[in-house]
Amino acid sequence: MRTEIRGRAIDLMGFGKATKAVVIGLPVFLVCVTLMSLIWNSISGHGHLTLSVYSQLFQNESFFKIIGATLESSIGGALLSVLIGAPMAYVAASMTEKYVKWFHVANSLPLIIPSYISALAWEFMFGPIGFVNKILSHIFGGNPQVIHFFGMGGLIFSLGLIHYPFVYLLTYAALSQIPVDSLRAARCSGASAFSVFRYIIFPLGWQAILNGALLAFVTNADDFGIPAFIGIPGHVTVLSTAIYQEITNSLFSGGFGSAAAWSVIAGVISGFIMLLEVLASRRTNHYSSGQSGGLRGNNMAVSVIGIALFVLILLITVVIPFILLVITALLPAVGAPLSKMSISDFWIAIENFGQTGLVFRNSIEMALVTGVACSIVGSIAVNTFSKNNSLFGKFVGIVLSLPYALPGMIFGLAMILTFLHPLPLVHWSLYGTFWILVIAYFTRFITLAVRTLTPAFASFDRTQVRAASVCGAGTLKVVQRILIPAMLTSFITSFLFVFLTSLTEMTVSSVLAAPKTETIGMAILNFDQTGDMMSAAVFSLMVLALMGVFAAVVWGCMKAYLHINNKKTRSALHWRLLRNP
Amino acid sequence: MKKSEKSLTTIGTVLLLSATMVSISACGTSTVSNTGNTSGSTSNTSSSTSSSGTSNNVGGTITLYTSEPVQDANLYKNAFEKEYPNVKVNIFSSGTTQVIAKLMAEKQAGNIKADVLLLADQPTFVQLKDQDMLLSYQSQEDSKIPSEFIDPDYDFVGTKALTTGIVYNTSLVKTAPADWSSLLDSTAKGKVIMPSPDFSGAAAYFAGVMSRTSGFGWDYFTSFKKNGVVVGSGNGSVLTAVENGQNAYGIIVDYMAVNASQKGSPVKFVYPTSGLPVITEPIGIVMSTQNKAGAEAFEDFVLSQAGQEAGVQMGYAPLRQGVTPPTGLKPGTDYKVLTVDPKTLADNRAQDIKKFDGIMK
Repeated sequence: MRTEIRGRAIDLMGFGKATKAVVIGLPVFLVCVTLMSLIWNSISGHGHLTLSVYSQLFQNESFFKIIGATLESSIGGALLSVLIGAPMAYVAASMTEKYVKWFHVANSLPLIIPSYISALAWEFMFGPIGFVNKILSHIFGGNPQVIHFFGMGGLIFSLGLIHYPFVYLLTYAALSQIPVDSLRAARCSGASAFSVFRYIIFPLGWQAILNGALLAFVTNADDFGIPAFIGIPGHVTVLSTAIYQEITNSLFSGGFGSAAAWSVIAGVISGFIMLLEVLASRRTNHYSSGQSGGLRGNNMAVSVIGIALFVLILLITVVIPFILLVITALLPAVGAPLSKMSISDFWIAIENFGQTGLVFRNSIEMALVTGVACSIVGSIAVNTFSKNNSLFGKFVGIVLSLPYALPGMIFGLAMILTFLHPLPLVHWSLYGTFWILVIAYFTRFITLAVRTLTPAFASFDRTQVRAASVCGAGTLKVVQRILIPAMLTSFITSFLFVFLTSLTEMTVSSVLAAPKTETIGMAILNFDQTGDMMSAAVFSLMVLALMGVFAAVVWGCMKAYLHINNKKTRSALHWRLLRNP
Repeated sequence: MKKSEKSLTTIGTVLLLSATMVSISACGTSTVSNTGNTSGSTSNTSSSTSSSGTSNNVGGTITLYTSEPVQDANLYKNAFEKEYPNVKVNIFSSGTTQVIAKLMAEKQAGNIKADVLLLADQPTFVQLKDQDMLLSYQSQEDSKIPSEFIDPDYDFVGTKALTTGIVYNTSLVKTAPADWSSLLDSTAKGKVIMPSPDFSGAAAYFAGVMSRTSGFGWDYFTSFKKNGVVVGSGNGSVLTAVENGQNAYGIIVDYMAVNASQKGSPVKFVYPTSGLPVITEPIGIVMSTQNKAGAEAFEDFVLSQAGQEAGVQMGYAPLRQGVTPPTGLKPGTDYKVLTVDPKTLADNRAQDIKKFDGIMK
């Protein structure tokens, strides 16, 4: 009996063990192949194996300085993200459900507004002759520059603000699962607010916070735009900018050996940090998910303070950059008088760029396929591994997150080296096609899906599935009646997360794309490099609009589905009551 | 109850599948069109001496790798395809570093997909030549291009003149700078931004040329550092900073500043009196090309009167004699060109960048 139940639980998704192994094995294989090609490149100098690239690297005096700066900015940024994201998630979880989705959208915007626009806006505000410095120097007199924005401080500030949605989204996913029953039980037993926090909220939330912080850390370490904009003028070089410089400098001399070596080190650092997380989170808490959303509407004061704080953050991260974006898009040139703003410049930019339709179609299609694939494979992987909380599963999680930790350009080059030759059995090369980009995105972003889905599966109570199985429900029914309603929100979040990230991806595609498979990100990168900020702003606004519409449609569909499902269950109940009164 | 449940599952599945199908079918077409251009490049010939295909019956597909913005590259493509209706041009356009990195990765993997290269500067092409990646071709249009911009072995030819000069913000600066020494003035202290050679090929070229020009040398950069110069990333970052007034002066490639100023930005470009380095964005044919005639026709076209005029339309100063540059840019005869042997620059580029970074740190 027992074994039979367990067998059913494993077969849950309608897959046999072998199919499941293939589905999970595929991304792991893709990651390993790409990583191997990178490592191979870093150790094969002039036809034989050598560690000379590494020894040169370690002898380079700036090596440890760069590693130190990378750790400082990435960890600092991640901590700032936690300081902002975790309280915001708590506010969201205690808010009346009606307003949550708007709060959600507003809190995801910093991630979506292109980082070069945010960096520019903050330069306006906090830069050497920005208005904050002007006001401060007016007050204090003498010292012309009170805030030194270019450099480590500005870097941490920018990274932390841009990537706090990672912490917010993951923490919210966990906190919104807090069961009403636990909180009621605690309150009935006279628990203090502190005890409730210490024994109920914290244990459920901390793993999600850690997950979010790690994701923020890895993203910070890989980010290129912000360090180039804010770090370089302040003489702060981090891994991603160092790797770019390395590629530029050694294109002809040493091939990609030393750039590959730098990237391997970037991967090792991220892998090491994530290993620490695995060791820290070996114990997971399982909560019965009775009625979730226990925190909702129970603390007015928290909401009021939280929202005041939120408005301030929103102003800095979204409102001011957004206004700047709109002004830039409507002006004929940057710095032109505001009276010259006109909507026609918007259309001119779209028309002048001959491939607007093509890049949008490519990016949307790539993002759709990647989003669906990552969410499905991610769900299967997380479902398989979160059940037994195995170390092997955690290890797979780390491996899957490595491509995300590599600089995009290097990842793209490794993909070229791996996939340029025709595939062994079919004698057909993926290189130059649409699918090479989908595979690259899939391999790179699967970790986003895994990390979004992990908290949901971890706090999901499997006894429900067992109960259903015992009552004779088939696999399909279990999926439809228990898993989908419980997981749909997380699944959609994970899909949107991957979709939106793929939609604006620019560094991998900038080397991996071929004629006819160019992406939106490449167009924006091109505008940025040629100093065409107006077109860059126009395209960014179009992407924002597209994201808004798409996210609204997906969420709308989900809500409608849940609504219908709910109604149906209710009417089914009604029907049954009528039949057997 | 069972029925309605099932139908909903079906709807969900259909929705999901159709979303996937739409994208699959759409990209199916793009794959098909791609195989046309990749199928040709399976084996490669090493001979580089053969008669040029000047006949009108050239056809097939060529792939152009360029750092030109897409809209500019498309102008070339459209004008070319009008003249050679049987040839189809595919364009890959990205940042200079990205394009070369892609090219070198393809070389390392043993299958270069490009037929024609149009990017960067002479030292970059010297390096490509040193790696035996270029096919020699003497175009009949070469006679109209100044000989110092043509490779002695005809492996590559310059296509345009991009000078590196000074840009300033007209609302912040009252007296326009006249020469490079103006940027060392106390009035410019802490107000100058320049692109980093780590990010911009033009800046690397600038450092290489200036450091080898008498009267400047590395001392010029040391004094620059003392005067508080800010090192940005690419040329785009310089333009944005000067347009916004973050910096009053900048060192920049001419057409960016001139284009911005014509669109209404408060900036102006200056040709320093003691001369400027000129980048020529050469064109060259890849050794392994499978459509030699098509690639040669494209090179002919870019150097021809029509091709150079297309370049003027994009805002670039032409190299060909007898073509008038766009408004705001001077013809090559009106300013002094600072030159250094491209081979010297190519061999020392990595050290130059290191030296620059060392001074600016």
